[in-house]
Amino acid sequence: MTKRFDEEVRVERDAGLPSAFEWRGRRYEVADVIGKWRIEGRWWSDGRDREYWRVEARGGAVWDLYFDRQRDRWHMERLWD
Amino acid sequence: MASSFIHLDVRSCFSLKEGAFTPEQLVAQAAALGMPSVALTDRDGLYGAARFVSACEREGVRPILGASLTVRAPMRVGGDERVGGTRADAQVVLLANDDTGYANLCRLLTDAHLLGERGDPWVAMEQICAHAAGLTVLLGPRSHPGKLAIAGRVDAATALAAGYREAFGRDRCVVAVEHRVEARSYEEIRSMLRFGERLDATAVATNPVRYLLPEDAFVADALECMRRIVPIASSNVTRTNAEGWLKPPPQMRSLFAEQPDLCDRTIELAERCTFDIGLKRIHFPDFPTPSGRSADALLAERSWRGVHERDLRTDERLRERLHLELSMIRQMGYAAYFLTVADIVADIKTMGIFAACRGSAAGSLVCYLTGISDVDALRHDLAFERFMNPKRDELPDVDIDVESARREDVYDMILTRHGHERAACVAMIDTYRARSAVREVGKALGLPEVEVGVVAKAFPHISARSLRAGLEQLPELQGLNLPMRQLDLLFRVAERLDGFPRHIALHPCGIVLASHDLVERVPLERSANGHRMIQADKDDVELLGYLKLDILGVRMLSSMRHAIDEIARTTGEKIDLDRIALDDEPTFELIRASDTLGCFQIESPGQRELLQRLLPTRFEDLIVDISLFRPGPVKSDMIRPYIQRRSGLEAPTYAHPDLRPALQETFGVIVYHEQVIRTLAAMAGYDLTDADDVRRHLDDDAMLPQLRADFLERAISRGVDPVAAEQTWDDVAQFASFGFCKAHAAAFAVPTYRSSWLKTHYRAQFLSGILTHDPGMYPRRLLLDDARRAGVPILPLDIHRSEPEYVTEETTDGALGIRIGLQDVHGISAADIRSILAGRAEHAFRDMGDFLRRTTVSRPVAEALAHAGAFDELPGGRRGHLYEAITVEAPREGDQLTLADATPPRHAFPSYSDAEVVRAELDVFGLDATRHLVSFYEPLLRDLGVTRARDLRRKRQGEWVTVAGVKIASQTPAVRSGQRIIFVSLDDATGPIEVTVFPSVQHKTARTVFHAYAMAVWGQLRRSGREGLSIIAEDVWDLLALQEARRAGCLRESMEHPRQPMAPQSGRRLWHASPGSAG
Repeated sequence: MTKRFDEEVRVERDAGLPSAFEWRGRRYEVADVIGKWRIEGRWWSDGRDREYWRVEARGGAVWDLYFDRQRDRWHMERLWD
Repeated sequence: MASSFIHLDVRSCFSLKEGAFTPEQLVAQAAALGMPSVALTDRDGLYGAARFVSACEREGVRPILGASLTVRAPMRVGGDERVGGTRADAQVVLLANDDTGYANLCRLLTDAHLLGERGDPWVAMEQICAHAAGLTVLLGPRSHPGKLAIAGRVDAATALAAGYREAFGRDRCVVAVEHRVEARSYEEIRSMLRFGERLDATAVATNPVRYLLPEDAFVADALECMRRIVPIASSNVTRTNAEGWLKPPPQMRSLFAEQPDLCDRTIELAERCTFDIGLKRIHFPDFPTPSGRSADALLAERSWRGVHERDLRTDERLRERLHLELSMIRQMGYAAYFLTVADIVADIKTMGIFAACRGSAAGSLVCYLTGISDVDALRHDLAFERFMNPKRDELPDVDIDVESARREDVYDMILTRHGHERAACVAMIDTYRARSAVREVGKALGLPEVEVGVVAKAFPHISARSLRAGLEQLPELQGLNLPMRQLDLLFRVAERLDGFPRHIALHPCGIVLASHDLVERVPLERSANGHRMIQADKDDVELLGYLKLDILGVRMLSSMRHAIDEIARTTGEKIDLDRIALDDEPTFELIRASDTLGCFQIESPGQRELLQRLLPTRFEDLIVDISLFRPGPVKSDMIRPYIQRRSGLEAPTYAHPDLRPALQETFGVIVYHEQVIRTLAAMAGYDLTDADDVRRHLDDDAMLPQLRADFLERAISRGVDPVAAEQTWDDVAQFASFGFCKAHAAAFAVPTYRSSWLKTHYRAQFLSGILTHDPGMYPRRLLLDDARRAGVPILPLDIHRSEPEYVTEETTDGALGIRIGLQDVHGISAADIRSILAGRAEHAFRDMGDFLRRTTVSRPVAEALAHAGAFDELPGGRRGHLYEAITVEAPREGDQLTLADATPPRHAFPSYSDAEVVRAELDVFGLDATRHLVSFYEPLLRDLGVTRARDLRRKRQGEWVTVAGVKIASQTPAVRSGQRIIFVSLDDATGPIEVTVFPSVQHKTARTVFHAYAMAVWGQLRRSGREGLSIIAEDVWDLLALQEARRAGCLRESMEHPRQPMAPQSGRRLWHASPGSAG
């Protein structure tokens, strides 16, 4: 099932790709990068510039993480488990 | 190849309100990124094609031309299925491979625009397939099949695309795959590739380019919302990221790293598009000639016929000149153009419409002989080379002035007579300026209209780029109630729109004359008033090598037509302006007295001053006068030596005796371009075409040293004294930029003389024409004053006597007066006027009820008419008529109500005061017809110690004066520094007063200057030049407020506190405040 969040996470990168992340005190290894896209816009209100990564963590759950390029921070947005 | 990429889906700002860059910017960026080639595929048009190709030639990028066409699907497509779940419009990109393809593209775009509603171009897939030859179709994610494929229905997509596949074949039916870096991009790419395989079509990689850099994406959002007229908000913006930019090849390659062949196919496709639009290759018009005759032979024959019709002496000079012109025309291939233009001018005259040729074309004898121009080029010694010569890099074209009121009729005639494929109007690209950009962006951002209006109004005509500087410098913007962040957004977007096309309008005068293949090189569409119009502006027309004819609507010609009709109506005389003598002494007396208000070209204050110094005595003097009255000659005081020599106070001098023939007519002073050409030719032995070439480069600082050296060398080698040669060069170089084309001045001098002649002999009829068509620089109220001063009575608006126009009418004491027309009554429509004329033709209006019943006039307009006194001849008085206009029952025709029932009991109302009468006239038709407005302020002006306009001349430089008057004009020219100077012209019934308001006093004066209609100004007198006078304002007051203050006995106090904004009074409607008024 899908769960939505908007929480900060710590992400480790390897050659530009996310290789692992730490969420709610637990560390997840990235097994596969499934997709990558960009969302940018809304300059008339908050402004938004995000780089999304859909990754499969070891164990089979799929996660959507995004890198907030304005604030230089990673967020966890969605989890399929 | 492996590292390159070529963009094939690119929309510039010529996809109106979509692309966020100009074609020039696109090409510059493509060149900077090292792209060998780039496409331009604007939405439903080729508006940007010519400038795109031109920029490509400059930058060394190979252009690919195409367009994105809107395709409308029938309701049901592919059996019972709707396309992609909707039947919304879709788009395909078409690229021109070759000439045939481009012709097909132009035809398709023409059909898209002409077959449907204006502003809603579309085609059906079947139309595209029928024009497939020479074109490549790109079926991308925004095409109907693409939408189906992305929706997972590859079978339906393939079935739908079968028509394209069959018409275009495997190589030219192409599936365009995009990687827009969106969440579903991978799925989309997989679907599109499957669709391509199933269709057995080539697949290529593309990117939808709508901005050049990712950081420009916001401009595209704003444009999108402005196009759809929706607020800028997430729900209205289509894009989700900033990937639609001109990505450099490595980035495109890395997006498609898994299938590099997709990018390879893109390049192969681009390389197959070899169409070359061939800029500057001239396309002459067709002229159907009788069997076996060439256009050249026909033109020669018609010219010789003209020699007899114009009654010219067939001497050697004429023979030589005609031979020269005809052979130049033959050499350049222009005969058909001349013949076409001559036919058009003849047709215009047959329609009973004045036509006059202006500009350098008047320098051609052939133009005179074929009736194109009415200026005898031989008599006035005009140079043909100034109009046409093979060395010019611009195409010669003819400008024809016609009566402004008949311009549409002329257009219709030309477009009908010269057919769909041979003639069309030229478009004009209306671009965003600061005002329009601020208004539209402000609206899209949801900012309050009033505040945005204040911001927009403050920037009359400056570029959006200087918005910020303006905000800091303009006092009336202080205290604006908009958050800085909002203003900042507003400006950020608005300044990016500067120069982008806003909409495509009809050019006010251009008609392209082409051959039958016009529609194969430029798409046609319809203008707002239904004229056929090409998707190209006048610069594009030049680039595309088409010849055009400019038809300008000139109000003066309509005014003169009206005057002549009035003369015929009132006196029975039929005036033929072509036949009036050019040496009429009373006319020159009027001109010398500078009684020339309303006369063509010689009515401005500066011109009237010049006339007084120049004192013209013959037609040729008017040519000189018009040529001298230009900023350059006036500023450098070329006028003085000319006048000195002409009046014999100074002897004419010539740097060299050879110059005498060229300069004799102007006593050795270079006035005309023609003289520059002949001077260069006489001294250095250039032929006239070369000399004109030199002349046209005299303002090019880079070329000047070389031109000079060449001139001196040639002159000296011909035995000219080096000192004389240098002096001649200096004269030429100095005057060339000021000089005026004599042919142009000679053409202008004709209506100048004719209008002066009419004013001299038929002042009332002439002024009624001027009042009707309003051709000049002065507001009508000043012309009325001119009539009054000359003893022409002004007759008031009258519901039974006023015509639509201003007409002449004999008064009871036998004078010829001018009756105010109905046309300027505020709010009145043409239908209203027709119904009034029809109603009174039946029988006179009995009263207001009768008037309202038998006309279409609405109550507010009837009120305005009564207010202005149009019913004064009926009993009841103005206030009574107003009361009736508001209260009376107005049953329609056929109602069973007797007139007596409809008429309310009459009340006794006080009548209007003199001041109320004039205020009413100003309210209703903007003229103080009864008395000069200033006359009401006389006591106030006395108290203020005002200096009148006629007395200013006696004041000293720097003296402090108070002046007052009615505002007749204000101007705020853009100044490069961003500083703004306001120029105001006042009229105090003794003449005009020029006031200059510098930025340093605008904080306390700008409001009054812009909003008051009559004002007093305190300031210092400044003289400029010999006769120029202006008042440098220190303080300004609203005259109306001072008047009130004077009545209240506090005039002095009110002038001591000028900084407080004065209550705006000018909008008050007097009758609402009057006792007994029903308002």
